[in-house]
Amino acid sequence: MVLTKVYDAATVFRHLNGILNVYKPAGMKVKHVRNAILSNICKGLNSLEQREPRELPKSPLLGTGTAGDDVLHKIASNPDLSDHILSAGPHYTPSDVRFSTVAPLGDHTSGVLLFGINKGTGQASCIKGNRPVRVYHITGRMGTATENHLPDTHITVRSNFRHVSAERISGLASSMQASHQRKMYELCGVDLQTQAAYELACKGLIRPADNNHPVIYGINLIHFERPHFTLELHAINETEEYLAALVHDMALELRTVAHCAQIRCVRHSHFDIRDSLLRHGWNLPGIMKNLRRHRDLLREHPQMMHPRQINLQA
Amino acid sequence: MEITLALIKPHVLRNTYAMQQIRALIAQNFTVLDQKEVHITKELSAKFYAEHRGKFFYHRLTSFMNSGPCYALILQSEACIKKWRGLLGPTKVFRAVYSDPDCIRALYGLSDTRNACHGSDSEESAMREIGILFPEFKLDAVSREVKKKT
Amino acid sequence: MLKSARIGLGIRWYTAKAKRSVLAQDQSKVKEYTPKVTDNHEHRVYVWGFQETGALGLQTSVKKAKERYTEMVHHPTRLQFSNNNEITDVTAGYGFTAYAVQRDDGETLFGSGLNTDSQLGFQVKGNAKDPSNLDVIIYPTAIKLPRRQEETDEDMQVKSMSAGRAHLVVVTKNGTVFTLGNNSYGQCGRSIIEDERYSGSALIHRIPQEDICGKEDEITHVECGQDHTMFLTKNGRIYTCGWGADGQTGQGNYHTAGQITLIGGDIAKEKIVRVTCSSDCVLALNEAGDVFGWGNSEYGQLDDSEHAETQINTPRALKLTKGIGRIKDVAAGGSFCMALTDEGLVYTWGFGILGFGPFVEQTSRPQHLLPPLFGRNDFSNATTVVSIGCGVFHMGAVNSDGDLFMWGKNRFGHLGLGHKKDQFFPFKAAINGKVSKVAFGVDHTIALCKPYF
Repeated sequence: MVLTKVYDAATVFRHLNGILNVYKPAGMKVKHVRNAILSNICKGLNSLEQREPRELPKSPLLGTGTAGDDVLHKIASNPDLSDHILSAGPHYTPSDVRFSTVAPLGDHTSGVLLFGINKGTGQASCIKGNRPVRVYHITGRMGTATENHLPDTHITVRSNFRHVSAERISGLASSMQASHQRKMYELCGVDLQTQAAYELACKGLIRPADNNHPVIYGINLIHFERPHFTLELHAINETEEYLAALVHDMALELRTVAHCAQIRCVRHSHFDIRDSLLRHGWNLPGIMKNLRRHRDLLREHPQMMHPRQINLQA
Repeated sequence: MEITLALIKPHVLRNTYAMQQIRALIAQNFTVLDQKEVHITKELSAKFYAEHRGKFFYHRLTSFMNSGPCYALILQSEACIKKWRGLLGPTKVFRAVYSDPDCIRALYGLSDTRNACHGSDSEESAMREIGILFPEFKLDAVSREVKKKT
Repeated sequence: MLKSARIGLGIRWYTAKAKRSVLAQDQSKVKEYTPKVTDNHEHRVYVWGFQETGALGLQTSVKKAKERYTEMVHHPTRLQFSNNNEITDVTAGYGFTAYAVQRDDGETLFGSGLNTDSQLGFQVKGNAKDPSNLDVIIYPTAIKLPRRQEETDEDMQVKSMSAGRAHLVVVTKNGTVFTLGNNSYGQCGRSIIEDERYSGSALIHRIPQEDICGKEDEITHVECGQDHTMFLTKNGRIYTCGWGADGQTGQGNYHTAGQITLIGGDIAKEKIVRVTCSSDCVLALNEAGDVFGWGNSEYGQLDDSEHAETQINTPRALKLTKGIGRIKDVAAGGSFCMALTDEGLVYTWGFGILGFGPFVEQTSRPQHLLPPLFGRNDFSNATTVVSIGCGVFHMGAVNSDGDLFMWGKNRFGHLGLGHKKDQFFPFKAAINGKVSKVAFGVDHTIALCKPYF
């Protein structure tokens, strides 16, 4: 394929389809990310070459019978001025772009955020239906607990954390992982006393039957430097509050208190944080490039689009 | 009315809770005509288990019965031989725990030999076994009394 | 006012109301949380299963137990006794439990549960003049081992112990063997006395290890079946006594033996490193990873050939486990056996719930359970099973993360899964700690674990 440079807004818009992987900054609402991207898309499109205004229909103009009336002929060949940018406004507005979110992220969470654009909204709902695993890096800060377990509220309790060591955190993490995997069978909607349950268990991980209960498939400690510790966590159906509460509970188990200092989603299904679009790249060329990259990714992993299966996929 | 012999084996006798449960079960279902603690010595079990002589488990059974005191009861009720054996469940404990998980043997048996209790399999063997363990028991007297009442 | 707001916009950020309140918080008034450390012991004990016999040692008073009647404990429950004592070893018999303890006052052995055969020593209550014997002990109580004058507390520490149906055998650090409880088959290693009364007996039999295995060797491990006892020595020899009606003593006959005897057969020249038994079927393992067995084989556990003997009275090398690899650990239940290979695969065979789904079955060929059942998956792909064990009716395996998986017949809730239903494939028991040893009783289970804290 020969890449040609396109200057034409309509062609660009025609190709504005697919899944977009955006790096959501912490402290920004998903709604604001969405608005920023939409307005940047429109700004980009509107700055490209626009189509000519519509022509007025060539209806015979009422004249005095004098076919040689220059002025009247000139008007008839002119474009429809009501369609002109200066009168109708910019051609592309945010409401022209169909846009959907695959899965929400909390305000304090940063990282991979997937959007479906135009024809990509269908793909987005497919991925959403499959409920793929999301991978998080969660940093907890020991020593202080806050009201909602996130850093933006009042500190409630202070505590000592000198006794906490990396081995102890990872030991606790592996036990929590096993307990969640046990819970997974209870949530998958299969009777444990049946052959079906045994066969599922042999396959390993299974997904829960509904999308209300958070399930954690893997937790391990990846970084530890007092007072901070970072966990890598694979989960389904999780919410920001749940993850924050998890850090809090872990700390209590470790005989200290902690709050969740950072949450970053590093992977959503096969969409990696390395391919996600940073804030300074939220412009039309960047978005188009990102869409093209993820079109290839979807082609590589067609199972992401298959209808829901009970066993878990990465 | 029929009578049968129930023999609670040594290992259950040592488990106070199991003993209590089994006695409660017996009290619910049968009239106990006589009961006593017996020690089944080698000589006694040779008589008692005469029909099993020569089977591979004979030695195992007799040495097990000899390992401590047993508790023998004479039970009476309608069709009590079948009823008691029904409560006991299958002889083989390892199979009973899956086929009849609520029977006495599944609950308190430990292995195929340590199967909690014994029950006579027919009227004749009930008479014979009662005769061995309760030589003083007057069967005729009981049946006469029963007849008088009815 | 309008003017000041405009000026404000230019020079500083307005913060949200919530944020302002956070910034304004007086942090000096924040409460300090000092966690309550209930115990700082290395081990913690969880118990579950049948409670009525007192084997779980959870109740503190009979009166309270009557008020809140719980026949069985479905979930692993932390043993209060382990909060106050450093427990180093546990063992479970039929309706009773023994704990090896390190204490300042020199007591090393505690027990709770059924004591009708004095398997937990002579325990009385009431005044000294008119003591009443205790048949059931509901909370762990010290078992006073008779001590010679020269023996120190260190000497009396438990090296190994094991419990059978109604007897308890303890080997102390200085190599003395103590046997308690029922000796009607000679399982206590002393000659059988006709019509001996075991209830309320204060007899604790004492055997120096020289009398069993000579001066050069020493006893490292003791293992009890339901009614027999086996001693394993450092040189890999096995000495047995007790009930041999199924051949479980491996002495080449079916007698009951009160004399502790060295056994031979196929293991005569082997260095045995492990011997296990929970009922009447015995499995042993040598240094090279070969399996030997003797005792009851009514369900084809030891031999699957057509006219196989069902009572094997001499140790023999098993043909069944040939070809599944080098074996690291073995366990023998009532009607089934298990083996763990070097690669961490768990093989089961025999009769019962073997872990292959809801069909109770009899297989004579060892088959392995898939690793995902023991917690191996994409997120923890290095997890393997490190040890296995079984009771008469249930099986268990501990993986490298210290998680305990249980399956089998759920007799009186002794699988600890929170319900009474049988479990047909390995399922994790909810224990808060890394499991280091599990004692499988007939109707209760005890896990010794290391806490995360």
